[in-house]
Amino acid sequence: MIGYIVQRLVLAFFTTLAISIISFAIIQLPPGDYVDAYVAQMAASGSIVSQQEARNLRIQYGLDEPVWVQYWKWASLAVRGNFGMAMEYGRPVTEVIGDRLTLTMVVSIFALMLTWGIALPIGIYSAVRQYSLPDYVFTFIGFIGVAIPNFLLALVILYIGFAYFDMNVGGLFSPEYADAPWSLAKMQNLAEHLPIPALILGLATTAQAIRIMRANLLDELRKPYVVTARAKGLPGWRVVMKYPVRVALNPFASTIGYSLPYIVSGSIIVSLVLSLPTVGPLLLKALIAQDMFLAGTIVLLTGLMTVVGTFLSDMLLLWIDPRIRLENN
Amino acid sequence: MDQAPPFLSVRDLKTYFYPDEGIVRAVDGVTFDIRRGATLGIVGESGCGKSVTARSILRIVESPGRIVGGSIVLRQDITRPDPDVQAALDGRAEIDLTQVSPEGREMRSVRGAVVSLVFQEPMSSFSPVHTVGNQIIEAIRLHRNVSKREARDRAIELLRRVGIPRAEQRVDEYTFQLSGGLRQRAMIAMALSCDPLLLIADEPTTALDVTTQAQILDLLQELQDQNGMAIMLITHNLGVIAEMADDVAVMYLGRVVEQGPVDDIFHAPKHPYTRALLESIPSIHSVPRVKLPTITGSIPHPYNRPKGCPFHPRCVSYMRGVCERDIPALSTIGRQQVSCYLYENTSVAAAGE
Amino acid sequence: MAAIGESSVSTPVVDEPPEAEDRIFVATQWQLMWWRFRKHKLAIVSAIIVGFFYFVVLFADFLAYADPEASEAQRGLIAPQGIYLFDGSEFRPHVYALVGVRDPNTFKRVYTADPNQRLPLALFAKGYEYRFLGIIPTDVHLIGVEGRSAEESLFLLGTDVQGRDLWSRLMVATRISMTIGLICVAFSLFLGVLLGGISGYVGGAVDNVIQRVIEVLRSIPTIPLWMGLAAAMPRDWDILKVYFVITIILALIIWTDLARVVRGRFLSLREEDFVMAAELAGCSRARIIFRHMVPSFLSHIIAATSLALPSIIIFETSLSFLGLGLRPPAISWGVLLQQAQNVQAVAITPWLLLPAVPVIVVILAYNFLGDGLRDAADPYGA
Repeated sequence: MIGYIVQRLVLAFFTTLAISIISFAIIQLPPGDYVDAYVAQMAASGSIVSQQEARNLRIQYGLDEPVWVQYWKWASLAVRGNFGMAMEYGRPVTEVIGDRLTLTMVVSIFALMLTWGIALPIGIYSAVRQYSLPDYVFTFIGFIGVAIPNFLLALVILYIGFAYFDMNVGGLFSPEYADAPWSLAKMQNLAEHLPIPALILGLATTAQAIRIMRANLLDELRKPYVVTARAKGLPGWRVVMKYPVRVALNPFASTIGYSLPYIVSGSIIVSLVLSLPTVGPLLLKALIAQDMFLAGTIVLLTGLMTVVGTFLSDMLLLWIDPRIRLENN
Repeated sequence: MDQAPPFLSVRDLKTYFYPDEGIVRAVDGVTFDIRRGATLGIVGESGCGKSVTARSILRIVESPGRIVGGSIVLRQDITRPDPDVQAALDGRAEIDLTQVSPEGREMRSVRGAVVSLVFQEPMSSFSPVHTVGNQIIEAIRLHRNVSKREARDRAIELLRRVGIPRAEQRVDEYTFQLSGGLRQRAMIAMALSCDPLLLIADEPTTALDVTTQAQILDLLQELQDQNGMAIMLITHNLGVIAEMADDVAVMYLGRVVEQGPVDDIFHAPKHPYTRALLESIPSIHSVPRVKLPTITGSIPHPYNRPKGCPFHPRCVSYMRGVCERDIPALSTIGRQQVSCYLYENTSVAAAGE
Repeated sequence: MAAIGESSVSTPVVDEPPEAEDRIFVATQWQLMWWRFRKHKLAIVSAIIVGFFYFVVLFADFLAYADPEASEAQRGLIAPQGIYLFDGSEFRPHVYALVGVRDPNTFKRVYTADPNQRLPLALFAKGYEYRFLGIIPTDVHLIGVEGRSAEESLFLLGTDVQGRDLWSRLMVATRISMTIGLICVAFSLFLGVLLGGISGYVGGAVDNVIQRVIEVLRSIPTIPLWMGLAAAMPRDWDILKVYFVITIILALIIWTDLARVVRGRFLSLREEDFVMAAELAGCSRARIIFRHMVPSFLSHIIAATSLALPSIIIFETSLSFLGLGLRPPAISWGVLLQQAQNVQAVAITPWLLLPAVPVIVVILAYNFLGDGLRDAADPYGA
């Protein structure tokens, strides 16, 4: 078991490393010197950056030195929480991102929980009552869920809400709470607005999870230990729930672990369509404006969040599957 | 031999499967009795319907299969009444298990408590994610009103009884932590947990090495002597039958072609199939450098059963015009019963039974 | 054969298996796969639909009638026209001419249909010039309006904000959206089979390293990555270059799924007795791989590929939708949908959402097709 945890940690470390390198690449890619652009930008908005300041910035970011030095300098600053300045806003990146990252996490996790909550019972039902009408219906809905790109779904739902219900389903808060400080009321407001974006975000993953659960459960239902359980005298549903479901839960859980990156990814686009105050719209604006520190940092932090999430789900798998816990080989 | 009245009688059992491609007559008219304390050996090639028969008794035949005819009658032994049989009968003198609902109360009280099943593959017959103890305790508490503590103690005791060392530790282990032999013993422990009247052992030793085989067979014999339970031993291994069984039923393509006491079957086999089987056993005593006799042909495709006697296409005693007409009736010769046209008019009753 | 004391001995009769079983026993792998595939009605229908889409790819310009680039601000945001099949009692498909009247208040042209001006549709009409299959210059299109330019009179699906006919642009968009998937899949297939194969066949440390790399890649959230990479591409690159680079970016992500499938198959195949038999018979490694192992998993690869294609199409559409993938003047479904980003705009001009329809249909079709292929490829499936 310890070996498993260590392995996952090492993996998480390397993934973080990879993400940081890619984020750094994103920051560096656009042509031109960052500091020049910064100076020009500040000049355009009326503030002057002195030569001394400019030179200090150059040293701080190691702009005259080879790439790996620059990476190292950036990384060491980042680890300390200094992610640089968002050019367009003239403020530190962390300030600009603010609680958007937290909200991204909230929406993603909610979508994930919804996925579990919906996919598990439907998957089980579909497998046990194979070829029944509800099974066909769910399979069909599942296909639709996988087929429609989530941003399209968001668009369509937005349109329907707008055109037929005169309702704006976008956003995570009602206007009065949007910029208000956090309070219980604000959280309640958030909870009210969460379901629809979470549902849209999680639909494709839900559909896939249903198919996986159904397929795995169907496999397990044919296995001998199910017959043993029945031969003991265990009644119908208890046989299913205690044994094959429990076993089929393992591949289900590990798949869901890998859907977190997908959901976080998807939230970026969906949040654009639905105007959610998460990281997505900010990222797009940053990219279009070539505000690279902001963009790179968002990519880094989003990636980090995913790594943590995946690691947590690996731990969950450890808890569920005794074979991993006790395996000595 | 103690001839107690049979407490389980199978009469003309028919279990058919209905997949898309056609009908498979897995069990096509099987008749036998189970008596307390006796071991019935069911022997035959793969696909002859032995396992389906066992599952039919417990009503756990999987779709697209179902019992389409015959009866499986369970009755109480008045000399030694069993509380679980009583629970299943619920006041009646006997019940036909084919007539009750497979999910109903009667079947569930029969399963595990009156009739238990031990499988061939103990690895896949146990749940991989639950401890051995958990599964045995569940079996106990399904049929007995005891606390978890008491059930756990009983489980440990059972594990000890089947010869598993360090039972108190093993009870909390998972199946993959046990060796093959230990797993099979644990399986037997679970099957015995509620003192069943009949233990059906479906190829219990096929997946084990020869030494372990011998141990398991000894264990089964010992438990039978202690409990007085009946054993229905299903196997294709004639050696195991010779050692353990009191009576033998030889099956081919879903029918019992011959049955009788083990000595009679082995020393005076009547049915051509039985004879051919016995002849094909390699033996130290056989003449060297002579080709081992085999049965020509192969088992027919399930959708393509021969008419009449199912064995006739491969039979050395095939009589043209006779054997392919109808299924031969059962003829009784002494204590044996044969389904073959060779004996059609020669029913000889021995003195007494 | 020794018969013990039997009087009448006759030769045992062995029944001949009837025709049906014979055919199954001698069918080739592909025949078996085809028979199983045939049973999936849904998959057959999907295959036809996908085929139809590729037909559109080939005949895109022919099926269009208006020059996809011809923009005319005055013709912006015209609603779809209806085609009327009967003129009185005659079968004469026609449309109503749109007459533009300048609104005195906004100075914008407002187009309304004039029922009195009926323009009959012509088959194989002349329209804008193009090169069929890229080589044959021609100007014949499927339909057009006799005597008038299609750009000014035919608006089957309406026009976009720049007055370009949506139907024609949709036809041309299909071409790019459907082919970007193919090229990307080809790349990732190459990478996936190569790395997955090495991983599975060689095993050991090499396998471990490649597996870890795959895991790392799969844990990275892809969209922020692409957005970053796509945005970092210089704005002045020409479309084809952008197209190419996007294809490669997408391929670098997709190959991990294919590699996993390939590796899995190699791993299980390695243990198969028939591989050992081939080794014992003296086959070279290459022969074992290509002659014995590959046919076993080729069908799985096909199935995995057809399931990968829809995700690529979604990815490209999403990227272009955001303005970070393909950009005008390139035309793809995503580019077309970019105009529908704003929900207010969509509320007023809902036909701008129409490009979503082929996206959804083709993805559904590929999914059903892929499922059907995967079921057909699996020899032990139900």
